[in-house]
Amino acid sequence: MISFSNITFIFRFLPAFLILFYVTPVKFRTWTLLLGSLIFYVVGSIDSVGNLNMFPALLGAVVVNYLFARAVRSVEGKKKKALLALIVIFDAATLVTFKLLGQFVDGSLIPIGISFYTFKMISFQADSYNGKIDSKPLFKDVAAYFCMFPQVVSGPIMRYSDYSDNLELIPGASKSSKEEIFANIEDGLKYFIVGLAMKVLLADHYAMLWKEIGTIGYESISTPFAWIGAVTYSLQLFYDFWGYSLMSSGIAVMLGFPFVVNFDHPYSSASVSEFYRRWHATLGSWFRDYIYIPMGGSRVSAVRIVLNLLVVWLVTGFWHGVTLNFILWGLILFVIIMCERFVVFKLPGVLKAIVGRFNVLVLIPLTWVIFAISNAEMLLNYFKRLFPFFGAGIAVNNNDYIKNLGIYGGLLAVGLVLLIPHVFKFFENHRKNPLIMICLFVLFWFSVYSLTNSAGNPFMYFAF
Amino acid sequence: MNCFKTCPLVTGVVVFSIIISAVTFVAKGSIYADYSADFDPAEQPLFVVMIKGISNGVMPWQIFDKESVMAAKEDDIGDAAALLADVSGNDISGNDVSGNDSSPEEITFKEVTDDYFADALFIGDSRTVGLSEYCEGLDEQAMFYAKVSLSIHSVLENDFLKDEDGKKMTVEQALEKDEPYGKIYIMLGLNELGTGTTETFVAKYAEVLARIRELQPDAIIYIQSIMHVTENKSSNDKIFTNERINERNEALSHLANNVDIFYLDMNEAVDDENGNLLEELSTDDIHLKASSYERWHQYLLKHAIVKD
Repeated sequence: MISFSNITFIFRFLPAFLILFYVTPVKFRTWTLLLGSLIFYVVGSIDSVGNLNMFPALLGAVVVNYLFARAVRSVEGKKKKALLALIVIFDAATLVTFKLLGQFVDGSLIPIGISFYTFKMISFQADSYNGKIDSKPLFKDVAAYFCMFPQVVSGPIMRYSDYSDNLELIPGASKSSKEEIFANIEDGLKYFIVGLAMKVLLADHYAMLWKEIGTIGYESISTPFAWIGAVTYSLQLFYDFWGYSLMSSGIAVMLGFPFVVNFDHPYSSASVSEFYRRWHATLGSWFRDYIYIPMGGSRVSAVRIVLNLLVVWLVTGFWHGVTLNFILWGLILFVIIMCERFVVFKLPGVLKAIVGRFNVLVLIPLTWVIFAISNAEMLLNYFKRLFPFFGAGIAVNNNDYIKNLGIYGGLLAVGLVLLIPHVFKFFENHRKNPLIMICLFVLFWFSVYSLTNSAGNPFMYFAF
Repeated sequence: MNCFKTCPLVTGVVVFSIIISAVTFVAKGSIYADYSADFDPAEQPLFVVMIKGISNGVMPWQIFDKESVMAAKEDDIGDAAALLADVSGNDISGNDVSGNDSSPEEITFKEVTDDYFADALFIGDSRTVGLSEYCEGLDEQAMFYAKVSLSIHSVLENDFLKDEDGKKMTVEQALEKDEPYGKIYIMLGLNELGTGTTETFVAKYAEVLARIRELQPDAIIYIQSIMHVTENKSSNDKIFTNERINERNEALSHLANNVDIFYLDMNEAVDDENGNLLEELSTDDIHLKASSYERWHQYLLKHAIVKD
């Protein structure tokens, strides 16, 4: 149940939680949110790793961070700064330790969602230190913010100021009528459905094609198929994560939180630098606000800028995974962004536009291939098939892509059309239109149908 | 407050959920009886039963259709009868085995070249599909009736083939009208590893063999062993274990009469020393990588029956 695209979550947990949340008097609602989130985390942990061994890691981090934030607020000057440094180092060290344990000792040793809740904690500490958090938050507020179930597993990394904006949680502030509450739930559901369909009907099917390519073996795919594979994996990643983010933000809207934009049509960007302001935007802005700017940002010498960006991209790579391919991925993006900053952006208009689009639409999918394949030899094999200048592959079937385009071509076309911002914006602007709502209704049940058949039947995705 | 005005979508979804749950409740004893047997209400909502039925072609409105309701009930009886028949069928095939005192040394496999497969047909699941796609030598010569997820239970009835007019056609129909094949290679048994028992599986296999024999009286039939999975898969899966595959292969080997039906243990070509699929031949622990199909091909070239 740890994922939102799960029948039990959609038809049991979510409706039950929504009813309980709004039935609870405003004074106690934060507790409902916190308890509900902990139940979600506990049940999800048991479902996915089979035990609760790592649950104390979350609880411990919550308590320590709350206490430190209080301590930081109560002192001034150098002491304050030292305390902040201490808790940030503690959070970062915890994250690094668990990531290394998860990678090199045992995968189950990494607490679910640690990458995301730790980033929330660091952002909370910095915002609290900088006085961006007005009142003295109570323990229940901070704990519910860290643990809230729409975000605890994979973000988005919402800021505390957005969290505390929720009038439904503030006694005396909430004057929402029943109609307004239901309107919120209705609006949230629309985003949830679009996200669910992206995940279930698009991403999960792209995943099947990507898996198929792995089964064949990278050394044996034709060059056209290798490029289709790069596009497929790029689309899979995008719709999986964008879909997840829409579901997460949709649920948050149902609970009265503001809609958090995590993906802002990245593939329509004019450069890679812009792409990463619009892709997983809450992560990008986190890096900007809590690493890049504290190091001096762009107001320093050119050499320092290069160094700052290098640090940001190395950390980004490491954050995604501990294996070498993620570091390589981060480094290559750093190089591309450097080239853009110092060369491409200085080119005349048309040339700048062409190179920029090329970087987004061709280089980005290639970087995702590096992101996808952690084994160095296999990665090399894949690139040899993408660029077949270094000899032919082994046992290549040159018609492999025709068969697979026959099966997946339609779905890939849908995914490509959805990259155009106007399509999604049309939905957003017309989401109260009855026709759109009928489409959403159909999409919802289509997704549920697909989900049910894959969940109860492991053979749907993995028939031999 | 007017729910339908304030939140039409939420209302629609809720009302529709209630309706399909109610329909499932009514139909779970009749047309959806097959799908409600192992349903656990603590795990999933009730309408999941109906969705599973629909995905198998049982539409909810069939509840108004007396014949479908009766058919569902008869199906139950039919299944039981089939099961009984399977068991006794197994006895027959069992007899075949013991009746056939052919000792292994009677089989002399010869080494042949690719033109041996010019009148050969391959029937199988995704693994045979892979063989057709990544073994040019075979694909140029032989005919392939192979499909992902094919099992011994669906092999004859599934209409995945197309005739000249583009009309759907079953393997049974194809074998009836095709020119006689010289050799028919079969590899099936992985998809159904989780269903039935070794006895029911082998009984069905025998039945399929009999039907193929009837349609293609002169072909040499090769029963290929079910290919193993890797150690990694075998030790981490409840269903797809090499232990179970071996049990079924052992039973399959007895279906050969060594006259015109032969058993080929193709696992010899792909196994490690512990009888698991070699790790380096597969990336998903179940299928051969494209570059590994050549081993299978070579094995077949070296294990051919040549009639004098």
